[in-house]
Amino acid sequence: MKNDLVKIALAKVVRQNKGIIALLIIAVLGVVLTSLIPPQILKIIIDRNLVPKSSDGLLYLAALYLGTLLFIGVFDFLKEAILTILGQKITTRIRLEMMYKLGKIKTRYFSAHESGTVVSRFTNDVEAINTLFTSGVVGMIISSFKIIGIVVSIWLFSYKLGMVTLLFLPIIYAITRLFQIRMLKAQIINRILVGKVNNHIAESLNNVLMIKSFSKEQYMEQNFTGYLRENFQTLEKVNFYDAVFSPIIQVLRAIVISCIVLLSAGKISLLGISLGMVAASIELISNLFEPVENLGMELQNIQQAVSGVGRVNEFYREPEDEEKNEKLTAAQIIPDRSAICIRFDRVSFQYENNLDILKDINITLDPQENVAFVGRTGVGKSTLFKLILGLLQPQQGVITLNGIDVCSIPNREKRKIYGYVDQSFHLIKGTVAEQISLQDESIGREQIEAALQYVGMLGYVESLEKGLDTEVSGDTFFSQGQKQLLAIARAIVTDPPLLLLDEITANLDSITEERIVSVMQKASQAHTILSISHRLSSVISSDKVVILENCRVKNAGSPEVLMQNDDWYRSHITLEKLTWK
Amino acid sequence: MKKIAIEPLQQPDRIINYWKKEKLVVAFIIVFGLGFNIATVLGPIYQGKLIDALLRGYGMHTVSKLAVTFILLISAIQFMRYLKRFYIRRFANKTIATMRLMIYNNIIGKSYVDLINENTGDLMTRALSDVDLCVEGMRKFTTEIFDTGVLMASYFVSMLYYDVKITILGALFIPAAMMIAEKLKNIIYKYSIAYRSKSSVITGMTFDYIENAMLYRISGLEVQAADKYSLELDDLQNKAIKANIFENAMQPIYNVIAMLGVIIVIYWGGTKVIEGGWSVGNFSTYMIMFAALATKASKAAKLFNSVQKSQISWQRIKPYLGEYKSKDPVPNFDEDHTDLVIENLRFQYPEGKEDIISNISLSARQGEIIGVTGPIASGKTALGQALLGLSPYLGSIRIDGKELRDYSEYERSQMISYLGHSPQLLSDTIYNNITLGGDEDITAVLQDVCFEEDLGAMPDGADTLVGSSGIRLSGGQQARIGLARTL
Repeated sequence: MKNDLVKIALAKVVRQNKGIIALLIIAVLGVVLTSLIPPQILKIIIDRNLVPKSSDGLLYLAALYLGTLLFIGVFDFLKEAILTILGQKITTRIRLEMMYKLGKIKTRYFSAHESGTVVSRFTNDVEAINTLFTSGVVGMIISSFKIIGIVVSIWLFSYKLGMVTLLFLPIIYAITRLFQIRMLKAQIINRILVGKVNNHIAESLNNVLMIKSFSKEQYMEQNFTGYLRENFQTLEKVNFYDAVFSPIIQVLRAIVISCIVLLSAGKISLLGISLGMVAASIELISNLFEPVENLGMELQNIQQAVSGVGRVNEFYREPEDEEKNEKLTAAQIIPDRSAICIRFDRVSFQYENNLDILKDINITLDPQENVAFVGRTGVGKSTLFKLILGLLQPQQGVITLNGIDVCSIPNREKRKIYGYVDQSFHLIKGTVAEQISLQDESIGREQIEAALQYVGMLGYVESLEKGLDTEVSGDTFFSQGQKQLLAIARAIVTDPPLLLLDEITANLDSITEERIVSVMQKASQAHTILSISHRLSSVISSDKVVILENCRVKNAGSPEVLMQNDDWYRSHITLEKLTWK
Repeated sequence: MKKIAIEPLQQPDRIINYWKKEKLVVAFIIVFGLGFNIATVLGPIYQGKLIDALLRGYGMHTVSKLAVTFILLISAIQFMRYLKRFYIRRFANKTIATMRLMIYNNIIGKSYVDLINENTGDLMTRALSDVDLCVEGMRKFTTEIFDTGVLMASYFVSMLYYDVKITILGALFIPAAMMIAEKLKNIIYKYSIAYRSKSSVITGMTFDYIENAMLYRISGLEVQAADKYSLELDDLQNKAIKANIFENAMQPIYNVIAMLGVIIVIYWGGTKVIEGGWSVGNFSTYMIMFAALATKASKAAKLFNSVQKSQISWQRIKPYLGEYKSKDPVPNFDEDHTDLVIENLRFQYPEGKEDIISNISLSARQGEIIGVTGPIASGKTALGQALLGLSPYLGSIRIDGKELRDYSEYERSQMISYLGHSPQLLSDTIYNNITLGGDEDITAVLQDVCFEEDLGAMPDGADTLVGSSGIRLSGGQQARIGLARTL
C-alpha cells in the first residue's frame, strides 16, 4: 500500500468524497438488482399469458417491464456519471502525487531517464489508468455482483440449472485470465515503445539546429520508423488476443444455451422447469455473458491501464533523497556570513555504472576563502559541486557545511545559502523577471532589479518593450553571454553567502569577463566563492587552487605556491599565456 | 512475423487516403463485416426455434440436432467476426504508424525558423494521443458502418418480415434516441476542444518541470512548482469531467428512450402469440432482435462522439500532414575550392524584431581561419547562425559566387559544419552521436578531440549511452563529442 500510488490516490479520493461514494453504492446496487427483474417478468408473461393463451394482465406486465427498464436506466446513468467524476479526481491526484515525487526523487534518476519518457508517464500512462474507472475495473466489480445475482436467480428456478451455470463460470474465468496474462506482457513492451516514440520527438525538436545543419533528417526519420515498427509488431500480437476473445465467449454462450435446452428437452426433462423459466434462463445467461464480453472489448484498454499502473508505481517507488532535516534554516546553519567552513571528509562518489568519479576526497575550505577547482574535463569538478549542493549523495564519507551534513539541508533553504551558476543556462517559460526569480513570489521586484544591475543587464532589460515583464519567446531571445549573466543574476538574487560558479566565464568575452570577475571580487568580501575554471588565468584571483586528477585531489594550495611546486600548473599557465598572445 | 513496411502516403491530409492505402485489409474488413452482420440475425432465429422445439415437445434427437446446428452456426458467425475484428485492428495499427511517420517527416522537414517556434509538449500530444484518438475514431467508424449500419438494417428487415406494424410502431423511438444523441454531440464537441487544449498546456508544463527539475530543486522551488501544477490540474479536471460526463453517462438514458417501444412489442406481440399468429419462439426471437436494435441505437451516440473527437484530433494533426519530403542528396558545388563573400549582411533572429547584425561585409579565401570576437550580445552567434543559412537574412552571403539562400538545404549542410554552444547530443551511444547513422571508423576523430582516455574508462567504449542531452557525460566530454561529430 505504501508504495502503490494508485491505491494511495484512490484511498485519498474516497476519503474526501464519502457522500458521492455512498451514492455510487446505491446506484450500483440499484443497477444490479433491477436488472434481474426483466427476465422474471418475461418468465411470467410466457408462463401465464403466452403458453396458456390468455391475455389477462398482459398490458400491465408490458408496462411493468418498461418501468423496470426506466429504473435501470436512471441507476446506470448515476453510476456512470459518478464514476466519470471520481475517475478524473483520481487522475488528478495521481498526477499531483507524481509531481511531489518528482521533487524528492534522487537526482541521478534524471541522468538515467530521458525527459520525454518521464513526461509520457505523467500523461499517457496516467490517462490509460483513467480508463480503469470509465470502462474497466470498476465495471468488472459491478459485473461480478451482477453475475452473483444472475446465478442466484437461475438457482431459484432450478438448483440443477444453477449448478450447470456454476460449472461454466471457472471456464469463463480461466479463458479470461489466460488472455489477460498474454496481453499484459505485450502491453508492457508497448508502453515502453510509446515512451521511446515520445522521447524521439522531443529530442528531435531540442536538437533541431544540429539535425538541420548536418542534414540528418533522414537518419532521425529512420530511427523513428524503427520505433514505429517495433511498436506495430507488439500491437499486432495484442491484436490476435483482442480480436478472438469476444467471439470465443459468444460460442461458449451458444454452448451453454444449447445445454439448457437439451437438459429440459423431451419427456424425461432433467430440469423440470417451465418454458418461461427456460426462456428467462436463456435471457439471464445472455446477461451473464454480456459483462464478460464487454470486458473482452475493453481488454486492450484495461491492459494498457494495468501496465500504466505498473509504470506509475515503478516511478513512485524510485528511491528518494535522504530525509531532510526540515527544522534547519539558513540562518541557523550560517549565523555569520563571514564564517563558512566546508569540509570534505573521505568522500567517494560514483554514478550507477560503478565507475569512480571521486575517491577519498579530504579538503577543508576555510572561511572567506575563494577556491578554484581545476583539472581535465570529466575529472569530476561539476560532480563535486553537486555534492556540495546536496543534490548528489556520496557513497562514502560526508560533506559538511559548518558541521552540518549538506544532504540534510532542506531544499527551500538552499537558495538562501547557495548561489549556483551552472555551465548551461536553462530558460524557463515566463517573463524576463521570472527567469531571475524562478517564479518565487518571495523575491521582490527591487531584488530582481538589483541583481540585474549587478551583472550589468538592467539597462538592456529596461530597453525591452515591456521591460522586466517581457515574455521570453525562444532560445535565441538572449545571446549566450547574456544568458550567462542572467544565470549569475538568478544565483545572486537572494544574496546567498556561498557562490558556486561552474565555468561562468566560458561564454563571455574578455571585457565582460573582466567586469564580472572584478564585480565578483568586490563582492567576495560578503561571499565565499568556489569556482570551476578551465582557464587558469582567471584563477589567479583565488586564494586557493585545488587540482583534481584521477578522482583525487592531486594538489592544493595558493596560486603562488603551486607555481613553485606543481609542474602541471606551471606548464599550463605558460601554455595559456602563449595562446593568448 | 512478417516484417511490415511503414511507408509514406501521398496526400496524407485527406483522411480517405488512409483507407485507400490499405486496400487488401479494407477488402477483408468489408467481406467479413458484411458476412458477420448479415448472418448474425440467424442467432436469435435459431434460439427461437429451440424454444419452440421444447414447447412442441420434440424428441431428444430433433432437439439435439437443432442444438448442434445452433452451436455450429454461431461458431461460423463468430469466426467471421474474429476475422473482421482482427483486420480492423490491423488497419488501425498500420494507420497509426503511417500517420506518425508522416507527422514526423513533416516536422523534421520544416524549416529551422518554423521549428524553433514549435512547442515540444504540444507536438508530443499531437503526434501521440491525438493520433491515437483520431485513429480510434477511424477504427470505430469503420467497425460501426458494419456493426451498427449493416446490423441494424438486417435486424430491421428481419423484424419487418415477422410483423410490419409492430416493427414500425415499436421502433419509432429508436431514431428519437439517436437524434438526441446527435444534438448533444455539439455540446460535447465544445467541451472536448477545451479539454484537449488544456491537456496540451499541462503536457508542456510537465515537460518544463522535468527538463528543469534540478534548477527548481536547488532553488527550493519544487514545492511551489507542484502547487502551481496542482491549480492547473484542477482546471484540467473540471474540463475533463465536462467533456466526459455526457459521453459516458448518457448511454443508459438513450437506451431507455430507444426501448420505449417495448410496451408495444410485448403487448401486441403477446396478443399475436395468444391469437396464434406467432409461436412463443417467434416472440422470443423478436424480443431479442428488438433489444439488440435498441442497444445498438443507444451506442450510436458513442460512435458519434468518438468520430467527433476523432475529428477534433484530426483537425489538430492535419496541419502537420503534408506531402512526404526527402532531401535531394545531390551536392552541386565545388568541393575543392571555396571562397566566401559577405556584403551588407543584415540579420535578426526569427523570433526577434531587431537586427542583431547590420551592414557586415567581409570576404574569406580558401584555407583562412577567421576568429570572430567582441563583447557579449554583439552578434557573434548571430553571424554564425546567418552563415548556416537556416534563417532568412538580408544583404548577401555568397559562396563561390552563388547566394547562400539559393543553395539547397542539403548542399548547405555539406558545405558548412557548425558546432554551437550546446553540443546537442541525442540519447544514443557515443558512436551513433558522432557518426549519425554512418558506419565510419571513429578512432581517429576521437583521438583528434582527445577522447581516447575518457573512452578507455568507459566499460562499453563507444557504445556507451550518453543519456538525455548527454547528461551522463561531463560538460567537457559533451563538447568534445560534439566537436568530433562536426569534424
